[in-house]
Amino acid sequence: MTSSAHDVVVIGGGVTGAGVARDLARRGASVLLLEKDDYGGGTSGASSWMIHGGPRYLEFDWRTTRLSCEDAGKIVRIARHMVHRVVFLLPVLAGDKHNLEQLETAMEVYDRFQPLKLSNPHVRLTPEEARRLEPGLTDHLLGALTMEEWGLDPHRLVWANVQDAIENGARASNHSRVVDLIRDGRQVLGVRYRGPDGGLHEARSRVTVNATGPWSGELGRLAGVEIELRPAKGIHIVYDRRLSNFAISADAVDGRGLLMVPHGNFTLAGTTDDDFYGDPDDLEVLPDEVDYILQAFDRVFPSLRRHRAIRATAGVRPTIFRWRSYEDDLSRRYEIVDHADAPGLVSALGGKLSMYRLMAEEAADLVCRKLGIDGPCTTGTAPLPGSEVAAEPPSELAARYGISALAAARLQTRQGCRAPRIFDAGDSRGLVCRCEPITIAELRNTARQEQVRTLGDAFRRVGLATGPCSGALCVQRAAEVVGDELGWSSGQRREAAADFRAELWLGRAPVLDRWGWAEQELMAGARGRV
Amino acid sequence: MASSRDRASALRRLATAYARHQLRRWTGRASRDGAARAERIYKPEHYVALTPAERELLPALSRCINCGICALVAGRLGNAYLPDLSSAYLRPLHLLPRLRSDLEGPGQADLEAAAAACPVGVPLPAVAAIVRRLSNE
Repeated sequence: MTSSAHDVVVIGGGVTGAGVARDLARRGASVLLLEKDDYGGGTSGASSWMIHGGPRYLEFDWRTTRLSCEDAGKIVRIARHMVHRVVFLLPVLAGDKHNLEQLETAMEVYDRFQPLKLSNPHVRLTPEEARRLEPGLTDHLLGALTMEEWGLDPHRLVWANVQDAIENGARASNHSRVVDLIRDGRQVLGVRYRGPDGGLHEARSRVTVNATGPWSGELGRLAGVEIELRPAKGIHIVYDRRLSNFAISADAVDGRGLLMVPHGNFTLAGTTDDDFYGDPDDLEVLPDEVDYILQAFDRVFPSLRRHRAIRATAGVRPTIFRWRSYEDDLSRRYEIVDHADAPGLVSALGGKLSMYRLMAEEAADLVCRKLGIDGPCTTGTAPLPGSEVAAEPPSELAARYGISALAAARLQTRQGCRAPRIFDAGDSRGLVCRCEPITIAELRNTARQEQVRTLGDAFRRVGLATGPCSGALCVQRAAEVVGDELGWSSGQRREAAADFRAELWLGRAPVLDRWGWAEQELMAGARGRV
Repeated sequence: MASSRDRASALRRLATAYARHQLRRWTGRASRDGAARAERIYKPEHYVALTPAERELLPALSRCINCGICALVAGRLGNAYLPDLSSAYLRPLHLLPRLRSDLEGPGQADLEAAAAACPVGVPLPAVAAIVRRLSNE
């Protein structure tokens, strides 16, 4: 067993834990970040991939909307290479929860906050105008409004926070599961964890931060404290392309608002929001959940069922407990808890992607007070790695390195101005994955520099197998490239590819259409498994 | 967590905003020409609309099962490998104007022949037409 000592151990490598680690490292604390699986592999990655200002909070608390918009604006500025504008069309139909005038009133109020996050005010559209912008909208419209938010890849956001923490002196390790807390009576003195090598390690710390999201209760039990959450499960359906340049909202059968959001080169539709009592490590997408989403869009965007869904995602929101509230009305606000019953342990509970930075700042403030560190928080102004300067036009990067402009543009959404560094080592610029597309050089780089230890990690870091072929063409090639970097034997490469295919299949089975099944059969045949 | 006082205050302010909004509607000071305004705002970021015909075709363009037969029949369109048109290019619609260099080049694929060979009936000439139109926006 090895042993190390730190000011702070942060448990949980989702966006909150990564944000706390980044903040503390920038203030000069010595930090160890531990993630049991992969960075952003839990709740963060299963989100709607949006940094939004929270117009729905206008009915409850305008301060939350203001805070949310202010912080969204900070994230947009520090992560400019990875954000994209999401322009919503909010269609209004007869029988909707809010009529057009009520909805426009809310948008007029929201317009006051939009400049905080560099967004434009809303535009009101007649039914004909709305259908001009999106011809797939139903012809039963009464009107529509536009509204802007921002989208980004949460996996990259989490990694960029981890990377910045490391560049500021932190240590971070994924596939490192905390198995116990080191305690002296009630005092928490650090953690024992099993590292990626399978070995047991001990890390002592002056403060231990529990940023484990839906696993917070489990971690609390190790410290002898009760942490009560009201976890809620949410699923999304992933479509193979940007179905439109405009996002679309829809009322579900129970009145909940659902969203269909185009991101870089795919579309997310969701989400559900159901109380969840199971194991957050064992999530399954149910056919009823898929139907619930499709039913809502049948009403406003009827062709959605004809488009190709390529997988579904599922996650558990770590919502703070409250009795007798309808799931969707539960606030996504957060609490930073300094456990009196377990001195040395701080928990960051609740929250949402849009406010991760602020939540991390408040957690770091508390930790710094305990440590006697008075460095200022810089996470709202210091750019994340890749956003230091504007990236060059993709065609220039493409011409310089002999790759397609498409490959260059997609690479820049992940690496920003640091994209050229990928080619420094002289690796091949051939493609591993054509749909995304990903070069051999990028995959090698991520295995070397970004703690990719499995093909699932490469899925999150560079989008391996996230395209329409869902890995059919690239998994084996990727196993060779990553295996080469990590020293896998040929048997380990085969096993890694098989494990990854099985992992992908879990998300694909609930949503495959006949073309998806045809592709699945074709590829199984090509691998000689018919 | 929002208190009941916060909630009451939020609802009161929304009610005032609603009254102002209705007044603007009645006095005819509401904005007009929404679609043109939206197009003006979003065109610089290439957030352009699909045409009704393209919208109708789009689901069929997603049928590609990446068998590669079209590439054997017809090769490349410009510098782009033919199966990539549907599987890679016709996905980030807003990026297409920045990817023109990929679509210009020596490749002159016989798209009709490629479509005829496609086992799942992807209408490749239509895919190419949409990619070209959006890349020229």
